Amino acid sequence: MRIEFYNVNDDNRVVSKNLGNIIHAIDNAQIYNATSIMSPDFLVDYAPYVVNSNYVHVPLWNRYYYVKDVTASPGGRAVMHCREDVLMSNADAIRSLDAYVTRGQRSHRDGNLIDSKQLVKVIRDCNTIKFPTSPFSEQGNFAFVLTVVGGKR
Amino acid sequence: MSIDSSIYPSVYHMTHKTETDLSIEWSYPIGYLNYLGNLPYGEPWDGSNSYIGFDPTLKGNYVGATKHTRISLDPEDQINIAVSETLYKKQINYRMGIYESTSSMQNSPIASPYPVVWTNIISPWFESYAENTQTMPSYSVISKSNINTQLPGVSLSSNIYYTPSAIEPITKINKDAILLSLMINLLTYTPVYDSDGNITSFNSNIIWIPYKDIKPEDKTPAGSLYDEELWTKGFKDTIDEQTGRITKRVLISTCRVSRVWYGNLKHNEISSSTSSFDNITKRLNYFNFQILAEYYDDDRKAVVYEFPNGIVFDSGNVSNRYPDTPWTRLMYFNEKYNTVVTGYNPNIEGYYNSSTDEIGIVCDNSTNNLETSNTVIIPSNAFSSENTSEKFSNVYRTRYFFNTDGTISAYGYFVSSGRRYYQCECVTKCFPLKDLIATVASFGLFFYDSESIPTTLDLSDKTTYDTHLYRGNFDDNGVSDGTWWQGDDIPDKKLDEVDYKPVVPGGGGDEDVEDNTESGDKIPNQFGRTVGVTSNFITNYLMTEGQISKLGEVLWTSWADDTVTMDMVDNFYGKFHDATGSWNVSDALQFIVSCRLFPCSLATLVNTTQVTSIPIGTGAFSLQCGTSSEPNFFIANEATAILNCGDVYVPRAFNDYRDFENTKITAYLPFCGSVELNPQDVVGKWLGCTYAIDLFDGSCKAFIYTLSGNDVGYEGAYYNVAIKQGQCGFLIPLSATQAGQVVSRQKVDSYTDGALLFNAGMSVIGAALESTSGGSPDTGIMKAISTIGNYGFQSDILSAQRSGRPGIAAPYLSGGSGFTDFHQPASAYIQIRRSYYQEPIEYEHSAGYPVNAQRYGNLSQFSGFITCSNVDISGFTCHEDERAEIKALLESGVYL
Repeated sequence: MRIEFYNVNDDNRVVSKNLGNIIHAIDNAQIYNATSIMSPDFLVDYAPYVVNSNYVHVPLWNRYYYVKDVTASPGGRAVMHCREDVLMSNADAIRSLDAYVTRGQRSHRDGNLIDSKQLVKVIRDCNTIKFPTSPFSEQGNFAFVLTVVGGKR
Repeated sequence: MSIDSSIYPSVYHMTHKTETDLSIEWSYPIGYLNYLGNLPYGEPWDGSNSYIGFDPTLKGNYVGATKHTRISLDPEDQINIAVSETLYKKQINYRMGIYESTSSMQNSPIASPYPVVWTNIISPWFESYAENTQTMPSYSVISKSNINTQLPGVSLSSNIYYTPSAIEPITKINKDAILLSLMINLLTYTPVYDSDGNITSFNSNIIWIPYKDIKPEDKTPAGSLYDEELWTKGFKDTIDEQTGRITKRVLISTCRVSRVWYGNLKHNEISSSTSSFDNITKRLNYFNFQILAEYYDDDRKAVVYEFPNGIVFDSGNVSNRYPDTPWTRLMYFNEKYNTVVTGYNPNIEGYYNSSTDEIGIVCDNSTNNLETSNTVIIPSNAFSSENTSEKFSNVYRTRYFFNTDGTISAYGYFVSSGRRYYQCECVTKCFPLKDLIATVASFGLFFYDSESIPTTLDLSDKTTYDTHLYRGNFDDNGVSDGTWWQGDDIPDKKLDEVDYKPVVPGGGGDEDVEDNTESGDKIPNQFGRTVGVTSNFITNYLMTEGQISKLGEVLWTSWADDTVTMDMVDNFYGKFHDATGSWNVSDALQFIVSCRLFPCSLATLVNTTQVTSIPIGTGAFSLQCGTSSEPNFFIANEATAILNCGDVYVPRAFNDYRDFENTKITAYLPFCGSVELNPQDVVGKWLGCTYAIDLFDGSCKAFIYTLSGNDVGYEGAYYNVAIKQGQCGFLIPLSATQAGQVVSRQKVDSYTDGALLFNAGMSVIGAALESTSGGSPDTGIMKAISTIGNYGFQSDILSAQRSGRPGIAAPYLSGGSGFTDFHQPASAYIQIRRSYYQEPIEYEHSAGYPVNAQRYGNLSQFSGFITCSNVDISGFTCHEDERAEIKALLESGVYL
């Protein structure tokens, strides 16, 4: 089985990883024991590229894998414990996916939506806006109203 | 920095964003450049003045200077700033611009590899001051080796540097002005040529120098740009007293120049004489500009600052007239008002004699020009045959006629102080009026075509615009397309609603947010409705303090001594005696329902009828309590008084959800208390406040309601957002419950307590009214209440209330403790308390911003961090566990 070895520095959440240059490729990798296709173990020759890579591509399965760990075995062999990178393996399908996007880059921001992740300080800015006209005098302008019964002649 | 030629091929558009630098969006249509272009070059004009301008296409890269002032960028990549010793020692006010120079300092070759530097026409100038006494070098050069500050955002083949300290030796006292000048707009650009040598575009940059670089110690004398408050506080607000709004804020740290300018288009005046051009006054056709800058303060509020330069509200003589070749247009500087004069192009050097010569614009109302005055008449000899267009082919763009068919006819003349004058007519050279307006509109400013429009117009407070007011139209990038808005069609009438495109470092708000718009039918309050008092059952009299005191005197004082006579008694109480003949004064007081004190003048608020006495009961008897100075009373014909408090605008601060979230808005309403308003109802809206006061029971009701833009000033339009009940009419205790008993018990001797009580109450209230503003607890209303209480009114009140006369309110209700309300603020106000937000670093990268839920689309449209909701991964060919993991990852967040 062919395996291509890479060293990837991208965050695991990056859909399309920057693979960089291929470190090495081998055609004699073997599946080690019965294994899930999502977390396979590969038996490979023990070589520097095995321990120096953290990402592999298995063309036969058309899948990419993180190298979780490498177990050195007797006889110059090593077991690569891998976990599938479902994002990279399905990158094209994901990019063509139609979906409701709830958070995204600034250019797609809707400022009317409440952003619960914003940090709110306890201090407040207090502004006062006075209505321009004050009907109630501040300078002693008063009126008296005497209400009487009857009165109009 | 980039040229966005896709937006508008003839526009060079600059955008620069860094964390440390300001965010800039700036663009000019090429028409603008052309319009400014073809400016004078060659040897600068007379050194007493200066002009500015540049020619990006034909005349070399020249900005302008005087022979006494020099700022240049020379081939050695130096900025030269100098003031001639001559000028300096003369202490003549001088102005400086910046221009590129070659060794000859003029006629720079088109293909100059050095960037052109020019100051915008609205750039302020710095001036010398009288205390300039030290010796100035003739010319000094700031070399690059002295430069220690590279301005952010500069990316040129030949960078321009500037360092305040390096300039200090030369222009120390003017450094701040230089800085501001540069700050406003110092544009560098390099023409790009095609194979034929034609300029196809410009590579450009904007250099900004933050205002903060101006040091306090460099402050210049009064009238300069230094501002003590600005430096001590870090910001400076200008608050509109009418609305309470912060209309301007200068913050030292950040600023950017807005394209929100306004100005007016003026023209010269001409007398009604038709005989001679000599009657033309010295007013030229010029544009007046005023620059306003947008700032974003630490709270990310977009605020506007009006630069104290470039304000012209009057005519002025034009200086720096400099001839040029035909077909060019000149920009001239109005030295009096620091403005630019434009629109004439006389190559009239040969005819130009002295400083008294005048060059002007004739406007003709018969051809429906921009002039609104009827006094403007074209002189009859304006088309004299001796002055052919050929002869004066170089001057035919001196003036413009605005014709009824929408075209402009160029027309020129020149008049000297002597007898010689020349004129010509070039009506064949017409071009559409709209072209001129489009050119002006491309400046992005408000402008007028009539000088009848007040040039001091505060656009932020206008709700309707005169049809003579225009504003250029822009696309989202602020690029003019040459079209314009006129009159009420001008969008965003209030300055606060100008379509800001705020770019706030580290924050949101860079997207337009739709305001909540009112819809549906208006449900206006009925403040205009008259609530009349049509019956004779109860009558309200508006009285003065003196009349009230007189009333007490009439009722009681004459009984307080032994001077009372039976005639007086009969006169007053004649109608009020019982069957046995005993006086029954309490029955008289039955007819007094209440006496209330209102904290406002009511006479102008309600419809009144003037009378000279107060008839009570059947009207056969009157209370004669008029005073010599106030003999008349006023019957209030309405049961309510309406008091309008005016309108205020509740501004948005963030232009996003934060204007509403974690924002508390409280309305304080005098005599009603406070009420909390829903931010969604009031933010970004005009609010009106009106009181309705019940004159009978003293209650009041305050209405706060929203107004649409067109309804500002219209009482009660639109929707009530709060109605608050209160009490503003306070009962003055008459203490008459026992009065009848007092009188009946001892006709004379026993009245004393009641009389004293009443008059004591009135006197202390009177004292309180006089000293309300003093606020001392020992005086004023509090003292009055205290004193009244000491006289034992409470028990009287209770007994009176218990007596409960049906149909008539208990006449002796207490004023209660409501008088304390007098010590509260007398004005209604809105209090806005907004929270501060702290956006995490790399927020867009790590958390992303909320995206409109309607944005259901292909993920290929997105980049960076996204999260999705309820992802449907139908169609994926992978295994179930893989699908589940993909779904989970998309919902928790991935980077595309």
